[in-house]
Amino acid sequence: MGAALSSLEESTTPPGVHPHLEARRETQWYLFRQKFRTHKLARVSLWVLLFLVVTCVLFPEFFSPYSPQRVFDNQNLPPSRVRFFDADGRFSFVPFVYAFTQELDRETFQRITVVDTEDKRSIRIFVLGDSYRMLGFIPGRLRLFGVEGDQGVFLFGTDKLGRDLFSRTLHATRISMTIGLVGVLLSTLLGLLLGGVSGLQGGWVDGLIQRAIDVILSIPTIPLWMALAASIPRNWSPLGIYFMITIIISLIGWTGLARTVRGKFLSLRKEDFVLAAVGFNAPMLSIITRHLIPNFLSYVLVSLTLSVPAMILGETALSFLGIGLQPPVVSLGVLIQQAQNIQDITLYPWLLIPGGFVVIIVLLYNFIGDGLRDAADPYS
Amino acid sequence: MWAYIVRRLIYLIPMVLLISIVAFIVIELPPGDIFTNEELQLRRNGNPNAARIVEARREIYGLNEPVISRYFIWMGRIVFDWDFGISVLSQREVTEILRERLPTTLLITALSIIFTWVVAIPIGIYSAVKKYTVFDYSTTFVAFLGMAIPNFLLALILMLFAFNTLGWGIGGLMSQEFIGQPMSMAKFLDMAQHLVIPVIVVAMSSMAGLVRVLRGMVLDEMGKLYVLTARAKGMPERVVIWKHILKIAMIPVISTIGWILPALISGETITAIVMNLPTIGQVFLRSLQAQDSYVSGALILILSTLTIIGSLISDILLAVVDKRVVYS
Amino acid sequence: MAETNTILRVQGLKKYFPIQRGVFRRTVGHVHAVDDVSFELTKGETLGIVGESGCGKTTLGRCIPRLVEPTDGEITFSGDSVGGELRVQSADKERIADLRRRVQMIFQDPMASLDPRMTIFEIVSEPLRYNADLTQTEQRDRAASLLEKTGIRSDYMDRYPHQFSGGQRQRIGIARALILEPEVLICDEAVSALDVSVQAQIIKMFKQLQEELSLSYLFIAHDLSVVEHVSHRIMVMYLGKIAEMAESDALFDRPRHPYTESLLYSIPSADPSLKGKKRRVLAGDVPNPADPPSGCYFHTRCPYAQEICKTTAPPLKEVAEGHHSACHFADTLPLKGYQQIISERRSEPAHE
Repeated sequence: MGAALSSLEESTTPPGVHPHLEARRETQWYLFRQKFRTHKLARVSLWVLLFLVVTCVLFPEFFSPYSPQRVFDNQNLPPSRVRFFDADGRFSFVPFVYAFTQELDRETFQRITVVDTEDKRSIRIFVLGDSYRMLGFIPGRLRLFGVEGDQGVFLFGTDKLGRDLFSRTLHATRISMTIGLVGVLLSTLLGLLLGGVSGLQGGWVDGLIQRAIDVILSIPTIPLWMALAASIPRNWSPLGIYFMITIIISLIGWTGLARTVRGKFLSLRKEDFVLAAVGFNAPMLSIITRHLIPNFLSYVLVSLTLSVPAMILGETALSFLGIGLQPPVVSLGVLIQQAQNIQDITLYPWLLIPGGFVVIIVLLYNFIGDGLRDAADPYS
Repeated sequence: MWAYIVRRLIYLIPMVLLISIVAFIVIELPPGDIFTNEELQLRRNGNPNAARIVEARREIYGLNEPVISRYFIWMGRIVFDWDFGISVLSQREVTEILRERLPTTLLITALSIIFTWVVAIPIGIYSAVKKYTVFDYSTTFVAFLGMAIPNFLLALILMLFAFNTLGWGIGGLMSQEFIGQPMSMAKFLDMAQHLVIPVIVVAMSSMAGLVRVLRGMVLDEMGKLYVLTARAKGMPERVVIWKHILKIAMIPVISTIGWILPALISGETITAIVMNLPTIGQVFLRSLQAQDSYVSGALILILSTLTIIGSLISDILLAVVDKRVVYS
Repeated sequence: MAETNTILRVQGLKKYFPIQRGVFRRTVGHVHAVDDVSFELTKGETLGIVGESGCGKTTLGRCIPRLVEPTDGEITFSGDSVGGELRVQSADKERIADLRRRVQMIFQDPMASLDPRMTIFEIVSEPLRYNADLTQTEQRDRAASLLEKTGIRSDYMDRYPHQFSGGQRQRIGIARALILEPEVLICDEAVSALDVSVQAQIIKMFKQLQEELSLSYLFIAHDLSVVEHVSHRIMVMYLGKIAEMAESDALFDRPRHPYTESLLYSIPSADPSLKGKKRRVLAGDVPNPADPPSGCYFHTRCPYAQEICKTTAPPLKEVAEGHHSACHFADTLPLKGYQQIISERRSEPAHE
């Protein structure tokens, strides 16, 4: 009987293709990845982000020429000009910088930098510089580049204490990016949990959680963060402060995901396949883990990616105001804090470069999140 | 319809109560109270009676009562006497500080909303109508950028630009010479100039968001059948857009007051600090750092209540425009 | 009960949904989705349940395996595999679990009834996880044999639902329903979402499976002509109550409720000789189930309504052998059967 019936079966394989060929496993993830690939901006952003992770989060010690704490004699130096052509117009394969001195301008009473075109210092690759512990435990001294001679090469200039801004920026990026990630993980867990309970239980639990979300959303974020951050005792260890800031930021962030999760749960609950599962005695927990969660995992991923920028911006704002992270834990926000007034920015505009990094990172996450969202919805 | 409005109004009360509790908790979190700093100062100056003086003060203000009583005393004073307490930092009544600073905050926030709409609506619609053109791509890019730049950074950059290139006076609400002077045309213009950057900065990220949302909604609508029908009937494109699509596109605009308001107030707080504006921002930061709790508490309460009222207005407006909301 | 061969007995089943109004969401009334329904299903029989949208047939179907919790009523199951009777009344988890192993459901929407993220094998074998203890190989074998039985090649087992057509998905749903070897299948509009040609195939398959596996069906549909081919007996519902219940042939030959008659009138016919002929159409709309008419629910649209119909609700009475009707005039009304309707229309002048 089965054979007779199967001859009636409609086929999904296109004509000409032998129906016995093994079908490709068209899992939902496969389709998801395919759609993501078509979003060029997202793909590029993903690569750039990976690049940043490698250079700033994992191995900033290698990619920066100096230790971020190292103090040079030259404060507030503008970015070093790396040249390929010398004063006479000759090309040199090896990039170089000119040695310089800082003098006081008689008229403006400002320090200006004077280069010595006779004294070329070559940029070297793979030099031995300040020692470090990579990833916290691998000791080493090898750095990607450096310059010969006694002066330093400062791609982003130096700050008012004479520290290399480039090195500091790379290390600060690591802090900013990881705070974003840890915070997001926390708020995702919270959001999933509370949103799930809200959507599944319904009733008064749902109402309670919804009210809580409403209250939290009504309080303007930054003032709330400020108030919470300001209540961290100043004498805590920098690491402790780091964690508290993370927790504070994620305490507000979970609301968006919770709402999405709740909405998804509410709609999925009524789907026939859920009803069918109840109909053959599937326990609630199994239904949640095997049916509900995989069906909105992609939305969780999108929400996750899109909340990272908010976290990063939040931490940056708090640190900028001075109530976030404190040195020696230096994030991009702490770096920008040193550029708070107009005079400093006018005279030393390169101090704002860390801000550019913030913008770029936020943009990257937004683009990737956009790409993910397009890939997830509508599902095919 | 009225039932909906009444219901929303009734929800307002427990919400404000809950917020007051949150505000109270936040204020009580740091160890010590408003007199802690003063005590520290007295001790440092070698005053042997530091503890007793401060204790007496605490008694007067009821700061030795248990937590719950303190909450009710605080709320009670606010609700019945309109008394928000005192600021130890500036030795004034909080109510006075509010009266002084709140109007400017509201002014900037209101201007930002108007600016957001005036700029974002035409741009959003236009970039949808002319999708995939240079205009569209560039506005999308700027929109993304707008959402990515932290507002204080934008403020710094714009201030730099305005100061160096345009020679504007920046910082504060008005130039030195106008402080304390009666209102005049010159003063008005000066204030307007000072307000340009704050308004742009505060409005930027909501503007960017609104542009994208509008673009998306208009694109969705344009694909719908009734638009096709209208065109087939020979309706000129301009009329199609303004008459039909606008109605639908208005929905997110109106409902966004709900979530724009906290964002604007939030942004305004930081921007004011950076740009030295006489609004709540700086007062708030200082009160937090000095543990001037009455001020911080009052500010959080007021700001959040403003937000809730704003979102209530937006909900009601939304219900007027889109009857479907009422029945959900 | 063992002697009479009844496999499922439903008594006094009620399901009321509360209506909430006003500022405080008070419960102001109830929708009587299912209002005191009782019937019996014999082993190996197919009972068709018909009615318009909102008549409560889907709710009724979902109450039986307790996917929806009934407000009142008793469901008694007595199949071969149970010692005596399985009376499910209260929320007794074990009994409900047991009932669900014997009574399975097939849903209307083939898209929505399969989890898009699971393979066919996982979908079909999932019931085994919670109700039996089989090894992976055993599960695969069982799933494979059931899929073959319902016309899906077993080497497609690792594919995903979106790779199949609607008809195939419905077959997969049926295979899943059968894997626990139930004795009763509730088919909730199981063919309504399919193309007509596919419908015919699926219905044919239902009948074959019934013979082969000794299944009993509750076949819920809104289309009488579909139901006629599958069912031994038919139950017509209106606004939560049973209007008429009889054997298929008897119902079509001589209906005993005006509602049934109008349903017969509304069956479209592919007979070209009927083209252009008038059809008698039922006036009005289905009343609001939250506010049903007084007396006999149908009186507002009934062409034969009398005074008594407005005041007194007619009880369900047996008017002929195995033929029940809830109409005051069930014995006396000259209601027309299907054939009669067709021949009448043939002889009518063409409609201009």
